Amino acid sequence: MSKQSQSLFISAVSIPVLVVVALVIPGSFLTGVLVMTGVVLTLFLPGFFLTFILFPEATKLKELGVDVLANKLAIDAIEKIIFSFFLSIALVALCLSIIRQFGAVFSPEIIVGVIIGLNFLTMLGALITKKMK
Amino acid sequence: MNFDPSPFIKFFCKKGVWFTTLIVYCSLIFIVTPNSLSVKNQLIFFGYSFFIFICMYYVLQTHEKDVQVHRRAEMIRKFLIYLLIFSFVLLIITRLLPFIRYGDTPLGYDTGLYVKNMLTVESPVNTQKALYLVIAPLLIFGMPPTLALNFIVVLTQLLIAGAFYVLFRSVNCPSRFGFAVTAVFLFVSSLTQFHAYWWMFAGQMFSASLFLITFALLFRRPTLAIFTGAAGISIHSLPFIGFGVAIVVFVVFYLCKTFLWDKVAYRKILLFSVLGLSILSNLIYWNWRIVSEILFQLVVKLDILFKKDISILYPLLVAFSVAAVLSIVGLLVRGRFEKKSTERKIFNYSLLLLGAFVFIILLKWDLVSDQLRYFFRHYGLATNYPIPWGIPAVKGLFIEFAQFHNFTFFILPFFLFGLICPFVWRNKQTEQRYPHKFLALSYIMLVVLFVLSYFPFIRQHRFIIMLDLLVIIFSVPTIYYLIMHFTKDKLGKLLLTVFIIVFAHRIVLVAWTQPPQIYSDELKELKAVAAITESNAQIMTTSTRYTPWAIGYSGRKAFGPGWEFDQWSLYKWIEFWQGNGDNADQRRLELLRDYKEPLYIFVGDSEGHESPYYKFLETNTIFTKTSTHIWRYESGSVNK
Repeated sequence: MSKQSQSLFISAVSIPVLVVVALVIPGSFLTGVLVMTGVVLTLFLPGFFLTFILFPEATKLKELGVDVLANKLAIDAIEKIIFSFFLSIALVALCLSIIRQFGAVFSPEIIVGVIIGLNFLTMLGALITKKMK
Repeated sequence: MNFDPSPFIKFFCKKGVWFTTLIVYCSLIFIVTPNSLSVKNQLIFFGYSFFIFICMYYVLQTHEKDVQVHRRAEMIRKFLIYLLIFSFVLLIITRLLPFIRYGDTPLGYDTGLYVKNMLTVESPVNTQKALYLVIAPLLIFGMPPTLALNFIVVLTQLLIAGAFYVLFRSVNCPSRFGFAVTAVFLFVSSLTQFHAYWWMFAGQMFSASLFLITFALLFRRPTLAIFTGAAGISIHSLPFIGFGVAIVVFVVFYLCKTFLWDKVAYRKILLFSVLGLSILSNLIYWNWRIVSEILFQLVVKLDILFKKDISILYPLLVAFSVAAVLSIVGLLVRGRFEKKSTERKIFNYSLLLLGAFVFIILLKWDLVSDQLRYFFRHYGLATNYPIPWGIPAVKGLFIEFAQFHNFTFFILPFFLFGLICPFVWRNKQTEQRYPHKFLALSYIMLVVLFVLSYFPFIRQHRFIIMLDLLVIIFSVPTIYYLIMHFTKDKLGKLLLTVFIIVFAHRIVLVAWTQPPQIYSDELKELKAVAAITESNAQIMTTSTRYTPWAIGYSGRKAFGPGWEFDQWSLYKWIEFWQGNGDNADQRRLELLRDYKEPLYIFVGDSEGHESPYYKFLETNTIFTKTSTHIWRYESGSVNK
């Protein structure tokens, strides 16, 4: 299993765990955990999964003999973290904005639903991408 | 005696470029030297600038012949990694220092307004801005509003640093990693950026980070840039104005060039892109209600089909669809990376524009049209604003251009050298030696932002934050070359360490000494207002400095000079603030009758205890002091 596959697997497993923590154990002493879960689910994970879909692995490109493209398109670890934040923010902001344009009335349940939905969908996309490779 | 000029001519021809550069550089240094400096300090600045020019001349002359560069590559890389770690630590320290010193609200002027909006974030009426849509999930997961806001503001700083890193990693420059690290360091040590953080411009800073990442993606994945660009514009449109103008100028130039010189095939692609753009924009703009109605009817039909109310699932459906489309687009784009031809690039740029326009129209049309109307009504100039005392607010409350000039004083020589010597961007290792598109867009943006921030345009001062980002971009190559050169020997390393320490010391000192706009005891009193006052009470602040805080934290209807619910003109406020003489206090009482009761007046420490109105509040019996900074006004006492 490559490093990238490992991190994808760990993230895929962590989502249900985070969701369980977020929804099933709402004890007051766990507020911190809940908040952290919210931060990760909203600002990091959707973008993290998207990076697997959108950015090719440098090693794969080099195997294909396109070193110039590997330098241009592939991303290093720091860039992966940075892109994860930016893509998550863009995805969440746009999805919620578009939903608002359709005249939806937000409730906490809907917003949480959208966030979890986005996480699962992007994770699914990332897993499919890995399979296709 | 026969004078043979040929050696001089040869020398001038050989060094002509450098001489021209030196003349232009000296002229620019002369222009940017502040007149406020003493002659001695002006000479020191000239000497400093000239030293940098000589260093750069020597560095660039010897760089190509320097066979040791490759051998030292590992050492330079190691130094850059240390510099990156140092920058990260410095960023964390300087941005957290205010919190350590002054508690949970050391930042801002706007903090109160953001908190006020966040407290009502679940209400559909108040969730108009995309920034709150990003914060809303955090609040739902249990984060307190002030903490959420502080978290987001600190995050924006990390994101801007990260976006700088990605930007220079994406541009074809001599050393992607070296340029990226230098840019991060310059951002961290920028006083202007620290002040923007201190003023708590959460929306603008958030959007500025998205602008930088959009700029970076333009050279890597233009299709992705549409999404980050659209998100940025929906959060705050100001950071994208310079970028938008640069893109439009660039595309118009590209279109002209393509139509005049390039092949027929390209013309077709461009023609279709432009047509598509105009048709789609028009269709969506004029028929948005119809499109919306069709979608609504679709949901109703689905309701009937499934015989139950699925409108609750409507947002989820949209979210899933967007994510699915994103995934498919991502897969398609990823599969096509080999076909990176000119057509593809043109297509990408057109697509970027198309996407950006459509998103702007979809998400922000009301706001965009309002802004345009507002802009044209005053010809874009803040000085044409009809209410004179509103002009500073229209210009945007932030540092003046002169102060920005002082803040960037140390890096101005680096910036000017990078500006007039584009060959510092030359990369000899690749086929295409210059990052043409990046430079073209940067130069256009620089000109646009300079004009917008130097002349009294609407939001003039807020454009300074964006101009500072461009100053950093143009300073990066010069500083990077010096870093590379000075890592050669021990003396050079020592000089470099001094240079880094001076920059770091400056920003740490500013972070340490910057006082908050409101102290914790003042804020505590405002927070307690809701508990000790009537539900229909109004809070008046006598200084605009405290108005946003009163609005955000008092839990009551609050206003200040020039704000909503304020009944007085500037003339009346001057009477209240400065009135002296026998009848001054009587006049103040008359003025206060314009407001409904119960009325509470807040006077902060920064307003001073010597002002006439403070003495009036302290001495007049109709006021009851409820706490150190708050007085209750009871007109009934006058009759008694």
